[in-house]
This record gives sequence, structure tokens and C-alpha cells, in this order.
Amino acid sequence: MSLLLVLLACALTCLGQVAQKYAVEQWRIAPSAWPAKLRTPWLWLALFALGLGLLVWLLVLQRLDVGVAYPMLSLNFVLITLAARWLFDEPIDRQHGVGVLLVMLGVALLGQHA
Amino acid sequence: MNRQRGIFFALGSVLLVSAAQLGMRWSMTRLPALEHWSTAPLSMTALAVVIAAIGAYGLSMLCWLLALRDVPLGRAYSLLSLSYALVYLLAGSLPWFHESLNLSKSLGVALVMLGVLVINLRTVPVAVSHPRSDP
Repeated sequence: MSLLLVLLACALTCLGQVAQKYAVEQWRIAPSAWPAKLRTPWLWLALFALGLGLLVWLLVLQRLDVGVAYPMLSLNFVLITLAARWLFDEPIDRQHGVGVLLVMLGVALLGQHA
Repeated sequence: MNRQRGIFFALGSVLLVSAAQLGMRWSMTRLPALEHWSTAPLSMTALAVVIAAIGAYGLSMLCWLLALRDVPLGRAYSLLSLSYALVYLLAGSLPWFHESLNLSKSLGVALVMLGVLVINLRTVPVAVSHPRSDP
């Protein structure tokens, strides 16, 4: 249950970042004045996801040691890499792949103590 | 580009986010579980600390954005990985947290930091996205 909450917090944070990226892309494609920029639904989805992510994170900290839980947040680097690869077609080089594997190994080790 | 200023803000962001995480943990363990919020008594101190911690977290985001004016994203993330070690070591050694340090956890934290460094110290700067990826 606690580990699922960690995953949920990471997924929401990742969703928030992807939505921010879409918001910025939209502003780039169709430049507009600030009031119109603020009406971008992606921006509101980003804020909602990040806010909800923070609330879920507070629930995680009620259950898990922060010394174990906080480094597990680095799972975000893994999720963002997947999002960059599959949603934005960004190339992932070999060194990036090795880094992602190291993060996953570290998180798996920390997960044993959750 | 003013490198020194960038590193100053990046390290400020590291300290603030570490303090925020420790503050959130300290206060959340002193607040009732979600389902009892309407009935159980709320500690005003814990409530104040959790609000201050969320404020520190917001300030760390601001420092982060200021740091990114002067430091490339990869370097900034590399510095940010210091906060994993800082939070782990402080939570394991400060008496109020009752957390422990051991070999397997230390190895986990070290692997995570190494992974973040390997991803972010590549010579080809690939900016995945600018906002920071941690709550």
C-alpha cells in the first residue's frame, strides 16, 4: 500500500511535468497574451496533478521513513525518461539508459525497507 | 551566465527541499491519519510545521528556477541529487526521527545518486523538461 502511494505520487508528478511541457509547447505554437496563456487547460492539469501529488506525498510520509521514501522519488527520472521517449520522441542514449537502470536498482533496494 | 550565483541558488534549493522533506515527515507523523481528521485532535505545532515545510518546498522551487538562469539543467539536477544523501543522513542521525542508517539503505541511496549523476552529467545536453521532478 505504501509503495503504491509512492508510485502514485511519482505518476502524478510526472503527469504534472508532461502537462507543463504540453502547455509550453502550445504557447510556442500559438503565441498569445498572458490571459489567454492562463486559459490553457494543460496548465491547470499541471497544477492539479502537482498539487494532488504533494497531498499523496504527505500520506506517504505518514507511513514511510523519509530517509527511504525521499530517495525513491528519483523514480521520476525513470518515468520522465519514458515519457520523453514515448510522448515526445526524444532519443535516449546508452549512458542515459545506464543511469535509469542504476536509479531503478537503487529504488528496488530502498523498497526492501519500505 | 554567472556560475557562482547559479551554484549558490542550486545549493539553496537543495537545503530548502531537504528541510521541507524532514519538516513534512516530522509533522505528518504527529498528525492523525486522513480518515480521523474530523474527529481526532490536531496538534497546532504539527500543523504549523507542515505549512512551513510546504512553504520551504515552494521557496526551493523558486531557487531552482533562479539557479537555472545560470546553471545548465543537467548540472543543477546533479547538485539536487545531494539532497537524497542529506535527507537520508539527517533523518538517520537526528534523534527526532527514529530512523536508522544501514548498509543496504546506504547502497540504495548511493545507486540512486549515481544513476542521477550518470543521466545528468552526459556531454550531450538533452533537456528533458525544465520544471523539477520531485514533489
